[in-house]
Amino acid sequence: MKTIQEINEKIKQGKAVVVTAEEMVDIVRIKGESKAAKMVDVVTTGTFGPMCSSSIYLNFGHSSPRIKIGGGTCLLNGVPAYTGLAAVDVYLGATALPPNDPGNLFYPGEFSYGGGHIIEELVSGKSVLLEATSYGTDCYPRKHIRTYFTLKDINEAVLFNPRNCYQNYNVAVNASERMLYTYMGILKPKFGNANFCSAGVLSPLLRDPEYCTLGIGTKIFLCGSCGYIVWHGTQHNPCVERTPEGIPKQPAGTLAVIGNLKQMNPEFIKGASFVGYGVTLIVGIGIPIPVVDEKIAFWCGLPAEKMFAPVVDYSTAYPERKPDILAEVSYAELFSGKIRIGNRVVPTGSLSSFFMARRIAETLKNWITNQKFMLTNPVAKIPGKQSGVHLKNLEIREQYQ
Amino acid sequence: MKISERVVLKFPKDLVDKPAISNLVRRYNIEFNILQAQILPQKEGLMIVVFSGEEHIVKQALKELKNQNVSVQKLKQDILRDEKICTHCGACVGLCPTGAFYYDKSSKKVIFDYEKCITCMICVKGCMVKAIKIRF
Repeated sequence: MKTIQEINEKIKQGKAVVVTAEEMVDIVRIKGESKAAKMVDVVTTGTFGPMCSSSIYLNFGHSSPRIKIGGGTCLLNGVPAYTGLAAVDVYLGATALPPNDPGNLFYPGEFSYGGGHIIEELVSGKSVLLEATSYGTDCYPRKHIRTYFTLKDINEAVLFNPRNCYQNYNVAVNASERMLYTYMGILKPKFGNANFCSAGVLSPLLRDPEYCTLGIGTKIFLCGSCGYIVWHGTQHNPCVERTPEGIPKQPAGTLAVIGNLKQMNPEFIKGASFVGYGVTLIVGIGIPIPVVDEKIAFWCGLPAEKMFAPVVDYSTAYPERKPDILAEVSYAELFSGKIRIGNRVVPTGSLSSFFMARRIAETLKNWITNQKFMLTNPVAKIPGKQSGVHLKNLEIREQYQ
Repeated sequence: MKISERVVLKFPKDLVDKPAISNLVRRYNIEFNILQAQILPQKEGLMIVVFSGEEHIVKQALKELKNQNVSVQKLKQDILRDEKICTHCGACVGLCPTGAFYYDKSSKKVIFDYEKCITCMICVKGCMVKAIKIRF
């Protein structure tokens, strides 16, 4: 047993043993979790994938004369931002689209520009056009503003993501006769391909599957800078079925995270367009897992063969919210390039970049080894597998009750 | 000099049931790799083939195909992958019908094998960061 304080002492003395989750698999296989727990202090994880529930809020500072954008309208490079806040605070989500985007009118739509792209451009240091209108008040007389700004020009720019870092996710296939354009990418008819979206052995929440070492206040790698876990994510669903080792067999836990957009690195935060679906943001997250005991060492050392994802048909089961699962496949199979569904062999593709996940885990490892990043004790836990927290469905109720 | 020529062949109806490619290969000692083929009885056939061999022999072989009334066109569109934009996720890997995109086992990067590409362009639509472009 080690405490996070003890591990931090070792980090300060330059004596901490830090490995990536990929390396930990080999260490545990060779030495067993008991020796591995004594030997290794921190396991770093990483993930780099499209995460739609991502957003920023900005404070522009005040113009002269002042304008009350709050309650007015605001466009950033032609994309509407939410203004129901104070005078010069606005909120922009990753999936926001310009009002003149044709959507899926000419199916499948391209969705070539939106909120996610603006977030990436801001992080890259590019100028963004702010156009806002207001009704004018005695204290805020200006009714219109049009100005370019960069991140450097404004007071605050904060990345706040209500749901990131899914613990496990569906493998999407298409049983129908026609091509599908989904948030899980293009799905070819008749099981033409299978798309998955997890970093597998590097995926943060698969390494601490019962949220023992992380929680509210945990410092993390967020898009190239330090960020924090601020809450459990929306749709956090910790009570799903788990393997005997404790790994969820379905999409389960999620995290809400926050960080300073101004300090982020454009390599680790990218706008993305899904043909026929929409715009989103690719987010890079890495979480350090302190190896406080053998149980954590055991989890961090589980190989991809011991992690399973459900295969879901996105032609009927997913859109109609049916619980049907066609098969369970391991991440070892998914990363091998093909999976077996019944008697079919289906080629796989990943929406989450393992190459980038590895870079994130390596970067975090370097930060900790070089004493640039200390571990934090969470100030509160997020709901665990005994919490009774379940995902609710929205049932249609036409009459007021 | 050895060359590789990527061509689109269109076979007229009356040629579809004849072993045109096989004859050609036997006669000229060139290598071929069929990237895509759609040959149905009594219908015009379409084939995308890479011929490899000595330049003058490949040219002669293509000329003979033309003489047999096979339409021969160079594959004009090329797929380019911008390494600076690509995040190596692999959204293209499961989509590609010929395995031209695949993961390198050790680096985990997505590799693009131009030789296998038949420019079906599904990867262009499937790439979420628009790293794949068409060159005409």
